[in-house]
Amino acid sequence: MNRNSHRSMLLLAAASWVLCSAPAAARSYVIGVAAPLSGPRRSSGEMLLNALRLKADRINADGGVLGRRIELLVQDDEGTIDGARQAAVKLTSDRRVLAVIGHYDSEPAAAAVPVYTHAQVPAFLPSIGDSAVMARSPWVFGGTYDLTSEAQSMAVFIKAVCRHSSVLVFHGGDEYGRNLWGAFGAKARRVGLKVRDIEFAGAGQGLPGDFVERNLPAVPAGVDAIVVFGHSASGGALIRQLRERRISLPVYGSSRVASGDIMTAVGPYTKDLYAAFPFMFDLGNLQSVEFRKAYRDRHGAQPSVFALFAYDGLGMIAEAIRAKGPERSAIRGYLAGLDAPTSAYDGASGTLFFGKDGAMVRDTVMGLVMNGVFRPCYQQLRVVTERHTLDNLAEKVKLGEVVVSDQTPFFVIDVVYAGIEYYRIDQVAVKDLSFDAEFFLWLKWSGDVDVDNLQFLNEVPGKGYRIEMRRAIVPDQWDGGRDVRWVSYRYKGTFLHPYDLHHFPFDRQELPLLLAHKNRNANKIQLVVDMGNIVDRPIGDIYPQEWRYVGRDDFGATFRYASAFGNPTYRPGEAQAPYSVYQTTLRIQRILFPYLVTLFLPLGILIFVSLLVLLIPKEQFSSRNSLVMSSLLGVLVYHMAQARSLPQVGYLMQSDLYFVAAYMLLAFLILGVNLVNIRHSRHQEERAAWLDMWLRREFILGTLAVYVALSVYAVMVSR
Amino acid sequence: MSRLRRWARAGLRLALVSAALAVPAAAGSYRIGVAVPLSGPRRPRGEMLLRALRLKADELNAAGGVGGRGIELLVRDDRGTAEGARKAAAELAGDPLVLAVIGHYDSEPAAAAVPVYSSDHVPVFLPSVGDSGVLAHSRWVFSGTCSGRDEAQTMAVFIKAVRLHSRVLVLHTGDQYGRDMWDAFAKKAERIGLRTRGLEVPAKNVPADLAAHRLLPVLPGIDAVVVLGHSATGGVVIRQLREHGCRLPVWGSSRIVSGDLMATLGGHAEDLHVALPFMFDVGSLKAVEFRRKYLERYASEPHPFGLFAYDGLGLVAEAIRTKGPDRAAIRDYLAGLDSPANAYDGASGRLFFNRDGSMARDTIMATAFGDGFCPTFQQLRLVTDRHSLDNLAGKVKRGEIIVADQVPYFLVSVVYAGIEWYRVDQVSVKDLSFDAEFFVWLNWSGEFDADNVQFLNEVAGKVQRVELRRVTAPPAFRGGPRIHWVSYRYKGTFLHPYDLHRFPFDRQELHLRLSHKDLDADRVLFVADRINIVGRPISDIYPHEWRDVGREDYGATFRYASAFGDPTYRPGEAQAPYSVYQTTLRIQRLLFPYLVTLFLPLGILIFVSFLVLLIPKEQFSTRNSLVMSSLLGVLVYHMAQARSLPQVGYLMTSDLYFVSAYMLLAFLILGVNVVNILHSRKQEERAARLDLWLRRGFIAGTLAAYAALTLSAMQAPR
Repeated sequence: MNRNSHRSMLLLAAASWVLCSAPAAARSYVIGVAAPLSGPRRSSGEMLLNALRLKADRINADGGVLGRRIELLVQDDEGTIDGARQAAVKLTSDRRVLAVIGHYDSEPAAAAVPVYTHAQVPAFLPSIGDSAVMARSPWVFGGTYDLTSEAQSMAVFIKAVCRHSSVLVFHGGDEYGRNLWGAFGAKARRVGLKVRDIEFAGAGQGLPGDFVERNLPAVPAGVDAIVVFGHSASGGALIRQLRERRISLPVYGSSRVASGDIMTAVGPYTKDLYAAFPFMFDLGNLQSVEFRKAYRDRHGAQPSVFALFAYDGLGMIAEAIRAKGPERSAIRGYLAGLDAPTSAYDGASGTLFFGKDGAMVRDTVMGLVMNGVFRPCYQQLRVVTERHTLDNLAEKVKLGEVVVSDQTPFFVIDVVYAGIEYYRIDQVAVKDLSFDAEFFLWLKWSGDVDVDNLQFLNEVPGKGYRIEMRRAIVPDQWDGGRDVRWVSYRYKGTFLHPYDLHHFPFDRQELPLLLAHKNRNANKIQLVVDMGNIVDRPIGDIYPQEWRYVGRDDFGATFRYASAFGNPTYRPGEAQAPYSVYQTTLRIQRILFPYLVTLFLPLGILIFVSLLVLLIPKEQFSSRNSLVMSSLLGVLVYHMAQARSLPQVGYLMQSDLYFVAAYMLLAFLILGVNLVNIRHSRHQEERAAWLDMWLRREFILGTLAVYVALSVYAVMVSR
Repeated sequence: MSRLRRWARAGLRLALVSAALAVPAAAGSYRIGVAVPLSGPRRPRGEMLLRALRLKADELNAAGGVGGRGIELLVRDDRGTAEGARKAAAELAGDPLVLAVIGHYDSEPAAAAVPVYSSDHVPVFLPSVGDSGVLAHSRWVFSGTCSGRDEAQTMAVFIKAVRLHSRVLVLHTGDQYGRDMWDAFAKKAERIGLRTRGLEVPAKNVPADLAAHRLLPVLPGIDAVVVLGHSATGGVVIRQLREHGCRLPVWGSSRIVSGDLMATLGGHAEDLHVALPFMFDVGSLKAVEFRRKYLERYASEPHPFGLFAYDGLGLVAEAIRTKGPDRAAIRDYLAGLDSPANAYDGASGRLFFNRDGSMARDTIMATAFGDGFCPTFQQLRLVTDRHSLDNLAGKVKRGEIIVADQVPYFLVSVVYAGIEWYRVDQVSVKDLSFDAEFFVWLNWSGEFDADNVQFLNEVAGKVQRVELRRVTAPPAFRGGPRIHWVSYRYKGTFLHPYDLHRFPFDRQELHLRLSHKDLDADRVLFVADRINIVGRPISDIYPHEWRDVGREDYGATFRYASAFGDPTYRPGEAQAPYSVYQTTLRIQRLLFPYLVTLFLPLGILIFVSFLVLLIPKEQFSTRNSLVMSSLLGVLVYHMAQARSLPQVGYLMTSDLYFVSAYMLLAFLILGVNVVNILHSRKQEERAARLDLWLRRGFIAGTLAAYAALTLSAMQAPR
């Protein structure tokens, strides 16, 4: 009878779970994804899909959108025109699909755009910004900028930052090359940059081996830089030919030149090679750092910037559903409404809004090859959008913080490369929520940068000091015609750190050092990790000696303070200027061994002793009671003594669970012993004996089960 | 009887197993030949080399050997003679298991042995011989010291560029060594504009009237005298010069230092300077470590050649590790160490060989003081790091580097530093620091930024210094440099990670590490001012639980494990070393109070728990509550005691005492309960037997456990 009732209870519970979960799945919001999951572009497509799944999982983990989950409906567009068209048709014909994200290359995207437009389905193309592809459709939005804006920004950068006056432009003979040259040429004329051009191979065409020799017998007088608008294979071959003919002028390439295997194409000739990019993780915000870390942890590979754009695309669509409702036209309306910095979406790749043609408005980031990879140039331009600066433009221009080119104001941002190598951790002061560290800090920059006012955000005031060790001008490096400088310091200080003790004593801690400028925001100084020079050496000296080195993480990122600092021109909802931070995190692991002896062994002995109570004949109630009470008292005193070495926290630590379990078990034991005694005193010997036996078995089993479960959980979590 | 037999049988079995394990390990070791004079007049030198080699071999073997196999030294006595050396070499080279040979102290035996090694293709490392004549350009021979020619050239540069002499008289012996040295010196001198006059003197039996008849007449117009010879000749010549009133500075080659130079000079050592291939005073931390170990193990000072031999074995072991246990492979590895970029990081410096097989070493200039030699206030060090070479012009302009004969040298200032402890105000074990008061002084010559010295382990903002005196002393001898002296009174808090493994039987070493804030060892070298350090024991060490058991002082160079983001740095490249003067105060914890405050209460708690065994087994409740109270007492006591110490990642000796107490008491509680069960089941006889056994077992176990713990704590090295 009893068993039957248990069974029916279980069945009822299972049925109600199924009933509850099925409608939840049915009520999710469906977003279409069309990406190349077969063919040569498969890896790019998979990367987009991985990023979208990451975002969908995060949204769902946070409770979904308006209480409903986000569900991705994935179609393989094979990276071809036909495949893209078919995928678009399939997705748009499913009434549940609220919007579509995807299509990696321009050609498949161009084929799919009419389908989305006709079916009136909003589509977000993470890697496309060509106005030709988007065909001015009100239903299509690009995740990256329009390439003509890249060409224009390059012209401004070359003139205003690098101070070149005359450039020679090589552009591909295809539509892409000609479009960029058109935009660059027009802008160059407006900003006073002299230009002349030579057309070379377009996409898919090989570059003749003697192209430079035939077309550029000598560099025209006055030309002080070369610009290349093309693709990586032909562009790289062109740059190699230029260098082989001993033309050592700086070369500026468009983003497509820098894509693909450019380093192989140019060979050893990477000196003074610059390129434009729609985004670089080095200059991204904390959200982008978070995305990159999560992506790496989950997939074991580095994501591309387009993966980040796709991630942001899904975030925007989710926000559209939340703000405007789960309807195709409402989503389009929301996206179309993101048309100015004041109404932008705060994404992982920046403050996002669209231009009139549907392409994303992004600042162009200029990169320079350092140690075989593109890293941000020492100066960057950023379009001024914030009202406070626009209101005080003349003054900012006078101070050199803003340059105006062709009536567009730009912040001139100094990029400072920073690196830290730990020397010693003098004190991991868990109770004081701080740590004392000694380390070497170095900075590299170009031009006049106020590096003396860089400070650690988490430094305890008055408890940090630095000694300059070396200061030099870096040989063989210059940027924009200016020398690169290097200074290194020895640093010693106390830094705040809120330790997470949830898993104590199985815990791992992350000790961060957060370097930022005292008062200059990211529109003036951006800190970037000097990855090329940081060597990840394990630190042997971590005191007290209960920690061991596990690893380190470094990143530079921008963030916003949750304050407008009382800015009188601030309007609610407006984004404040970001600040830049360089963060290095030291990961350390607590050495468990001494805790096994000083924490778990005494606790284990107390529990073991209390188990002995079950060996004492039930007639000796007084002995039984006093033994188990003594054990309980011991656990209590021990818990108090142990807690005194730790800070007061608002949660239970893993060690607390061990003690709580002991309290519960001992209380249960006392109860059991007393019940046995009651039965015995009432002369219910048989029941008393049965209960005593049951208590012996269950208590020992229960104790073992609880502690094994706790330990297994703790070890698993600590890994 | 039968029990005794059983134990004997078990012991025999254990011995056999150990022997079986040990034999293959010995058979599998790598064999390195050692040929040194272990008889005859050079025996002490040979023994010194052998001791250094044994030290290195033991270190390598303790660290797991090379590729899991041990290093075994096969020692032969070369008697310090050509014949003995040839025979020893033939024996060693004839053993196919010998992978390389280290040894031969003097040039003559080495020269006799070299052809044997060359013809048998055995790589040989000569720790103390650098003459190209001996090395004979053999591909198989490598030297641990610099060539005499390099030494002579550096002396010429130092005399001209640092001491600014313009005309020198060079006395050289008429043997091969003297002529080679003179040739190298004269050529270099000519290229750098130092005028020389050479005079050959006999290598043996110097005439008593040499100075009077041949030297004094040529001294007018001469700024300094250079002696390139051996100790017997050099000492006699210098003494004669001084006795005839010559007060010119004298510069000697390294060989004049060997032997009993000071006795020969008979008090005429003023303004005497020599060139040396190495001095422990300006060595690295590894050299300090070697010297300390050697001193502890053999109770005598090692010679630099002992250190070179130690490094030689390190080089050979590294060759086996990287290239394999093969004679040709070891030779190739050694031959590949041919530039600073791919040098071996040895205890005597960054080591690489010249083309002739001699080691490239900076020559250290030393000045006679008291009974020995101290590093001269200025030193020259060859510029090899790329960063300095890239910025040569700027460094030359700032006077950091001088260029002589197109060779750039760092001009290194030697600063003598000393500390006398005044008081240790607080030994804060829990805070991993100590507060101390002491006097610091610095002696230097020329320009030195003394205000920017600091203690590497000082707690920022918790150090205060007061200048006591600042004096510039006149030169100690004619034409010598003026010496600056400054002394400070210091008070501060210094970081110190206490090693508490043996608490409360522990001994601690409190360090003070003085270094320059930003100048590296290419600019400033700190040397311990041993002559002026008195090293009085300190009685004021607070809290009063410590006593002074000694001190140690040294100057050394070290490298930070960072390139400071140097943009010109390439992985694997060595960064510039930094110099530190370290004084260590060794203190011993007074055990007596711990006997009363730690061991007595613990002992009483355990003793009380013994009493449970005297209580009749029928009184179970009393027994139980007594032993439980003891357990709780130990627990509370352990917690209270741990609060005064920092959390550490290991077990301290005191923890072991408590852990033993837990285990013993748990065992006792279990025993008492089992006795009670037997008693309640009316199995009186078994209960009585168990109770008796418990009495004996528990008492014996407790005594044995604590005696073993205490003996091990007292006997462990302090």
